[in-house]
Amino acid sequence: MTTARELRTASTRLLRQHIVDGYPVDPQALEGWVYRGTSLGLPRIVEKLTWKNFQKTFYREPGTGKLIGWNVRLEQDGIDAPSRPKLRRGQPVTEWHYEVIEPAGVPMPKGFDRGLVIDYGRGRVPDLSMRFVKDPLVSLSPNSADELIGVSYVALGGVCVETPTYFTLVREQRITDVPYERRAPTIAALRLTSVEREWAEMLFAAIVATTGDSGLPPFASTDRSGFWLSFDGAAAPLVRAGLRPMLHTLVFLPVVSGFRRPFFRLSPDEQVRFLTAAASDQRYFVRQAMTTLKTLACFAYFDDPTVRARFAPGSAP
Amino acid sequence: MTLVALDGRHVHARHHARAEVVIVGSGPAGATVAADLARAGASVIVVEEGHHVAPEAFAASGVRAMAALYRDMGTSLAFGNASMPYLQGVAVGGTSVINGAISWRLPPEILAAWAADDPVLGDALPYEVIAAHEARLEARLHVHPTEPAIAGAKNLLMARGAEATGAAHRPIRRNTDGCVGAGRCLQGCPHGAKLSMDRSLLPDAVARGARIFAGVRALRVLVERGRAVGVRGVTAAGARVDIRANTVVLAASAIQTPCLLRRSGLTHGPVGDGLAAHPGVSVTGRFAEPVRSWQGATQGHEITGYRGEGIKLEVLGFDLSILASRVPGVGAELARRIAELDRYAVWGAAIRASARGRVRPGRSRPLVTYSLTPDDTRRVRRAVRILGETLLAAGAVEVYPGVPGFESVVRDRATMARFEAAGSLTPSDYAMSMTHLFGTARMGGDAATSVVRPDFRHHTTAHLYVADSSVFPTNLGVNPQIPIMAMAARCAEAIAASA
Repeated sequence: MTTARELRTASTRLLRQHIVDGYPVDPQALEGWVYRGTSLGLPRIVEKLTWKNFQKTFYREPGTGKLIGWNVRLEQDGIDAPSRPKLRRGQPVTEWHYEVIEPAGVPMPKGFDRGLVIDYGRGRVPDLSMRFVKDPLVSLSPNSADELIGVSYVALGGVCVETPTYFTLVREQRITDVPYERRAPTIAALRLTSVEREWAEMLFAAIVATTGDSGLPPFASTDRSGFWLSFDGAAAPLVRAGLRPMLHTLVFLPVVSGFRRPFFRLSPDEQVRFLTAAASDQRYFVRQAMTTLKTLACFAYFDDPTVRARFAPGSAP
Repeated sequence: MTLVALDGRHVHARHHARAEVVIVGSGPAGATVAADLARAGASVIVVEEGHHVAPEAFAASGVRAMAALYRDMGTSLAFGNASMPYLQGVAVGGTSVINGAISWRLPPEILAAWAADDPVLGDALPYEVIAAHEARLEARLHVHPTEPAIAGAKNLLMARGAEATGAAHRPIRRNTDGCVGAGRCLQGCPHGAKLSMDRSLLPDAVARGARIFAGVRALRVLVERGRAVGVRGVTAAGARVDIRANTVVLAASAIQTPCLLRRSGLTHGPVGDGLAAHPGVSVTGRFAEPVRSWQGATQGHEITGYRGEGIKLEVLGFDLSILASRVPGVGAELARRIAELDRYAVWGAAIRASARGRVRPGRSRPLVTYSLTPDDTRRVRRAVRILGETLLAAGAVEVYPGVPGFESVVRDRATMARFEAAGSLTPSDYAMSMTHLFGTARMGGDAATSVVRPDFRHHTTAHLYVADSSVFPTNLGVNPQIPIMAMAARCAEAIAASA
């Protein structure tokens, strides 16, 4: 078994051999993850002019079920430095959008069909310069998708031309940002801002309030990325739009209901007192906001596999 | 055998197809028409907006399953005096993929009421013919009572509660084969044991040459010179699809079918009016002993003794996340209750409401309005009382009606009985959801008061049929999957006879 680090100095011939001899990749193992990419096989001057490191993402689009993704440009801080996305207007720069497909029926060089194919011609945001480019993608070890290797080739009119642009991908972190929603104004308007999302998570944590006792992980330690991707991608627009006023209501209602401070300035005891009162408030909208936030908090908490494992057969309770 | 002939996720260029019959929707109605007409030798294309998901790919997480298989993640809303979500599946197999597999026959008294209201329906829908279709479909779907071995505690407790209160009850008859009681019907059965349409009639249809176009959303019915000649749709990848056919069958649900008719300019009759439903309300109870409500048959027992009042009680086997959201409290109290989540059970009541709503196509989503009548609200209130009393009779130590203005925790049946007089009659005080939708393209002999004829043909557009529960003149008071399929089988007969 070879590691991505060992391939940094490998010859083009050896890299190609890894593509041909690589292991299949389970698409489900990629879903929801960001991988750190390292370019290989290019002259140093080209890398200097472009980049050595980048990120690739794999995202199951709720509306279509497609496994799609995009590249994220990184600041070139060094091959082993932590990933730091380049920002434009405060948002990560993304490019080269693609769809990940099975190799069956895709024109490709012989032996490149061991794993999956990244097809830039099917990207959610078309890029004409990449329209005919595809990357076969295989794993470096069996039954694992933690370290992958790929290479670009051009497929045009049934002719496939290989390029020396090899790269490795190493699993890095969960996806936290989906660029399409920023690009589509109507959807972007529905999406919570980062501050509002922090408020939502603060309310979730106060509602669920697990502390690690009884084998239940504290809310803050759970992975909520899958929940947010599902909610942002699949909930009805009206419900997503309605979440914002509900959040603002629960965050600022304490100011005028005796606490004189917004929710995020309350002590944990005060937060619980406020939420308990909100759950039985006379006003329908306040009650409904509380019911909605509680449901979403439970969705987010129980999406984490470590929480679900606590309730699996054979576990306590 | 590959179930899907065309996957709209991968179709980027304009696509044309031709068949004798094109059916919009692959749920129980569409699948039945497809299977019956394919067996009769017709070339059939089924257009489905959702995708085909194999059992092993069904997510265990409630939110992920709902994002993948439910329309709008289960957050589609009907607006009215008690705004409530209505639940629909969007997948190859339609709502059958995410329902509780509950199988009832069309109650004879309902059919008789339809005939009394519109005598031509009595001739068009003979009870014996409908019953024969139901028997055939039940055999194909392996409908049988839930076995005690896989029922799980929550279902057995409902039997205990019904015995104690003297109400008629029974194990639910479900369309399953090899159920192991995984408790995941509502997220898609991971074992493929639920015989949803994607595991039964759709493969039957495909084996006889039918083609399923998944990931294709129907935009409108193509009409030329007063005659339906096909369907125009768009793939998930954004390409246009035109399917030409001699006959067009709409089976897209009581929400989507009227929208499709209206978007196609087919506004004749009360299309989109008269939405009938079974609003559902639930009550949570806490037991002293473990129930592990997320295990065992998802919905395996029902109380039928109140059907005469328009109330039917069912066990609800929710995902952990939804169960947790239904137990009371916030903060440390909720955390404590989550730690002992195995003690809680949620039972629900489906109400045969008299309310009638309306469906109209909106800019991106249908606009659905539906308000409970005062009688319906009284029925909901009575259902909450019965649910609470039955939970207590079954051994629950606490029940939580969850209705403002009444005790939040009830520990005895006398207090719960008081709810029927003291409980709120404000519809929005009840947390409800809506399932089983009917009546938005109703069938009838009078073209002024109905949308389709008694043989399912559209009154004014030739070669256009509606096969789903839109044509039902009323709601049923029971779970409608088998009646929908039997009516669709009758529709297939009418199409075959006219060919």
